Amino acid sequence: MKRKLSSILALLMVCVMVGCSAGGSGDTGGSAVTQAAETGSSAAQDAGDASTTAEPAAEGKDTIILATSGEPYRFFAQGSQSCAGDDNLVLSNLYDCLLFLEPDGSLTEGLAESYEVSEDGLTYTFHLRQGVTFHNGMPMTAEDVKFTFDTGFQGPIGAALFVNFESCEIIDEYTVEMHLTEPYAAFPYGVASRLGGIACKAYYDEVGEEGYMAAPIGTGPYTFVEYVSGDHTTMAAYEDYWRGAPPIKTVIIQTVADTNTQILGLQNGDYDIVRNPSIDVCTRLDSDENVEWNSTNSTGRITMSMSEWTGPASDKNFRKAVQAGINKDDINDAAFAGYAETLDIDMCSNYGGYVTVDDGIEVVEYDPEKAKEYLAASSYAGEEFAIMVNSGSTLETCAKVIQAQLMEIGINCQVRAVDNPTYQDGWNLRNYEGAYIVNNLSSLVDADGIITGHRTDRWEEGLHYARDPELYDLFMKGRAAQGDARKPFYVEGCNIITEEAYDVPLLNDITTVAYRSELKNVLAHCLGNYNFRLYHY
Amino acid sequence: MNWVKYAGKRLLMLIPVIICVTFILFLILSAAPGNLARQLLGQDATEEQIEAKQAEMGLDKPLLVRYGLYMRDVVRLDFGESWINGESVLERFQNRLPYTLMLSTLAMIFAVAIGVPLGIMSAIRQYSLLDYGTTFVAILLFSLPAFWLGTMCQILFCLILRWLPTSGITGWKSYILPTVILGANTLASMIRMSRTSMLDVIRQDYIRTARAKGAAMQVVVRKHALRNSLIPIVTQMGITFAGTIGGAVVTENIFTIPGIGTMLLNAVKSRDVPVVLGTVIFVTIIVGIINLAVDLICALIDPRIDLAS
Amino acid sequence: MEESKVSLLEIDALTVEYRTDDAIVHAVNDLDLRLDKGETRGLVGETGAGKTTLALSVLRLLPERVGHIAGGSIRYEGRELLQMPEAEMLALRGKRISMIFQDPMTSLNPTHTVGDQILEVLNLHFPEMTKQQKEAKVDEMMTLVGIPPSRKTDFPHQFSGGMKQRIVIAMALVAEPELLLADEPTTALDVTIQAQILELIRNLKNQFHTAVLLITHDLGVVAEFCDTVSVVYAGRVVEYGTVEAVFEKKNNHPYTAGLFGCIPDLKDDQPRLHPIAGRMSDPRVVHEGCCFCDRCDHAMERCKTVAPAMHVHKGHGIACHLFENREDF
Repeated sequence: MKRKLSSILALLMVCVMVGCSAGGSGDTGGSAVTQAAETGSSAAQDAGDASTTAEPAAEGKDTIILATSGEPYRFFAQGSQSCAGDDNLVLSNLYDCLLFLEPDGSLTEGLAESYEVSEDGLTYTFHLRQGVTFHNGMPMTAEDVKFTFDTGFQGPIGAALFVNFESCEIIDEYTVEMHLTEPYAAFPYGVASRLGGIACKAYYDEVGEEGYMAAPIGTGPYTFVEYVSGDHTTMAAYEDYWRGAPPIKTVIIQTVADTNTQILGLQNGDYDIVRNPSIDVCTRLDSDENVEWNSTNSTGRITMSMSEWTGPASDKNFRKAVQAGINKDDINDAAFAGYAETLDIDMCSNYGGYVTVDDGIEVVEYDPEKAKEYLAASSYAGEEFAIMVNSGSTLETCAKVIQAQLMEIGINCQVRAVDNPTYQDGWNLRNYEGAYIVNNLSSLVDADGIITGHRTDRWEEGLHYARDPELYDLFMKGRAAQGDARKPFYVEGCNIITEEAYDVPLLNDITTVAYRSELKNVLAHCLGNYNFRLYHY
Repeated sequence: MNWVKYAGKRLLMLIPVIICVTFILFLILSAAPGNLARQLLGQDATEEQIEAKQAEMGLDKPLLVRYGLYMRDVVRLDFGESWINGESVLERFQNRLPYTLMLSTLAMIFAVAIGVPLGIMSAIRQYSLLDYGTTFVAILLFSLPAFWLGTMCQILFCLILRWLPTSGITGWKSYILPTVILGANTLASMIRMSRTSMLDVIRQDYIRTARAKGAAMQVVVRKHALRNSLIPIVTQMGITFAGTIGGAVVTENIFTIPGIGTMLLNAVKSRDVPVVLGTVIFVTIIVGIINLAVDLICALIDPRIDLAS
Repeated sequence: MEESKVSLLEIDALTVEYRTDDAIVHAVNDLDLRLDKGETRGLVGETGAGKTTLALSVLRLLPERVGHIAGGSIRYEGRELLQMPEAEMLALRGKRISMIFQDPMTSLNPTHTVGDQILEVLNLHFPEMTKQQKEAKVDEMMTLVGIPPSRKTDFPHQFSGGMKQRIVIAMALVAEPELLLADEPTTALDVTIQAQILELIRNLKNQFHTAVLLITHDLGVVAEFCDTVSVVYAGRVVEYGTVEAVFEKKNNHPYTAGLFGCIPDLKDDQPRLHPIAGRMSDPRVVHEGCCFCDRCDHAMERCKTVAPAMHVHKGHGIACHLFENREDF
């Protein structure tokens, strides 16, 4: 009797285990909504049938909760601390810049109604909007602009975002002139960046940097209410906003560590928006009528950079073999379900000054046979070729696909997925042997973003940033020229990189956003900004 | 021996433990790759800026000096600030401790209130349907990982049935699912522990003696068996409770509860040394106190335990 | 058969089995026993003979799932114990029939004071007594067994083995039972203490007129202490009688004779002792014929197939074919 019972129980257990493992996955159905990158067309929405579960009416709702795993915590950009993309969630809503960065990467007017550039490219004159007030009621004037730029330039990201900035001259209460040391075509993007959010000088003089951080003031559509570390940040609509009071009156940015919980909360109605969900999560959401999502090209290039100063990659034939042996479409399918754009050069298509095949760019096609030829011609003797990635990221997926492709042509390719600090360290110091897959994000939506990897001025520090001093020269000329005159420099530079195969640009990273269907005007932004003032129920 | 003196002695013994643990942690964190100053300032920062930041964080001094300075501050109850967002470590810990304590306590109560009686009854009615049933449930709970069980329950109770909130702490209902998930493992071990302990005790000679005196089985269980079987159970409770204080990370993650586990994990991942060390010191003290309480309770139950020895 | 008068305890043809998953252990086979008021009977046999099982059966304290009383009857003062409802058994245990066990080290609850454990008997069986009366009784009992009453708030681990056994005896006798089942009460104690404990039991049984079934493997104790004796082998009684008759060593069951032969004699000069050849038979196997057959020096053909009947003469019973038609023992 006891034995029979034991066997019945054992059988039951097995059934339970089998049942657990066959977890049902969502079916794909319904229309996916993607945003075309270049034309900037508005998102198509599906005229869905009535949802099966009764949803509470969202009409007139004026609070939204955004779920994010990365938490904003630095609310004053011009201080001695740096600030990053997570912080920009809040910064881009507390502050306005002189110019406004649209979701597709183009620039429109902000606190400056118009601007002119001098012939020699060294002076930018901005005409400020009148009647704009800070959250504390004080008017925004040229003083505040000068203060913002002078202070911001001193900080850790000043030289990177306000490139070539020399001084800011007050012409009158509503006119400023920015002087550059050298012409810099991408300067407007710096103006529109997170460092360019205009801060209130008088308030800063009163409370100092610490006070400003704790209770920030800007001219933006939302005011700062509170920040609870590890939990949430709250913003309230600024009724006297110069573009008009935003319809959404309260925005809560909620830190939710687990992505599953984020999505469940979204489907449940606990959250209104989820920030940057991964593509497979998005495609799963297609079957839920209460939720929509869209995506757009970000300003990040997913690129594989090889260590041409050491190891197997020091042999040009080896690098050419790798270059020809990578199938970017396959990587796109594996990591982004095909939603991303493949790249031939280390620039995103939304960059100002972007160059294409029409401008003379040379493209290397996927050709495994050619790759094997290159490999045979090289001195490669089967050593390990390690690709470093950030553990658990999309980059790791890309690396694994590449590993399979390279192994097929005969390269002993290994993937090293390490934790974030180790990954950052290795890349910042460039002390690796093999390859790194990085997501080169440029805060300036401009071709000049390509220069960061080629700076000869860091050579003395032993950091292998520059591959070829000629490249640095070319890109410097490219940033100085204006308009179409820039293109030849970039074409030549990119072609050198392609010829030498220092880097293999892979894909244009995408930003995504998922949100409740009743919430309108939610668009994924190339820099991951959320313009809450545009949303409404 | 006076239990106050005993308690005092035990608490003092925590000091060498704390020193040992923090020193080892200090060594490991210093040796781990990753330069926090560079990370915080970003790729474009110049070398001078990085060096200045490092000096500010005190990273330019040798290891032992840094450790000494840190411990000197600790003695003055200054646990420093987070390197990531500058918040006071002590304050942050104080903000998050109540959630973790609440969750751990609730999970323990849940596990003990259900598990111990079930385990004891299974032992008394060994080989009955109740016995097999509870053993089955216990093994199931042991085997199902928290992240799976947690997410499944979320889908069922939050999404489909809409009975409970998905995440965060918005009221008493928010505690239900996390308590059950966190307590599931402990529940299983309480059932097993109580059952084993009771089975053990029931086989003892003195139980037979009690029955030979004419006491009914129920009375024997209540008066004789229970107290004796509690000793290993109480010890187990202490160990588990201490474990849930720092170890509720998965549960906290799934249900977005701002507790200590997540804080510690994030701090380790981002090499935020003051937060890691501070949290570990606090957790060590809490665990030490819990262990002490458990020992005192055991001494109360079992007269054979002599605190003086 | 003995003369029929109403004895205190009558056990007829008792058969007890232990049923495990693997096999059935025949612990007690067809056992007969009589005990009168005030009588002290020794129950002698090797380890595994079924003596403890017998005592537990009387109190119906066999391990629940495993122990089964497969047949026979146990009557106490004429009432059948094997059919008695549990509630009535509870009234008997500790009050009319008490038991003391072999190992004093584990017989007491380590988390209760000794005073409380003795008091428990009174609480269970004499609810009408007042608290003071009960405490007084406990003190009295402790003094009787030789433990100062001031120690009644101490815990068992604070006493030595001998003192613990005294407390056990106090617990067993505080209700002044009519029957005491003493299962090897001195085996776990050293020799000097043994004598003390036996002396104590003797005094108390005289004081309270308690009948005692003394289970032991020590023939010396039986000789010293008991009025009558039953010898048990493989779960059945193979010889019984008064201590004088059995210990005369003139007429004994071969097993009993063998037992005597194992004891060293101070008077004789023996270079070697004579143990009984072989080991006790496997209790999982049911025997045909005499259970002692394989070890017996006097075994005959008949012994293998026919179980011997109990041949009684003048109150001395021997279950052996050798004594079949004899009238002289």
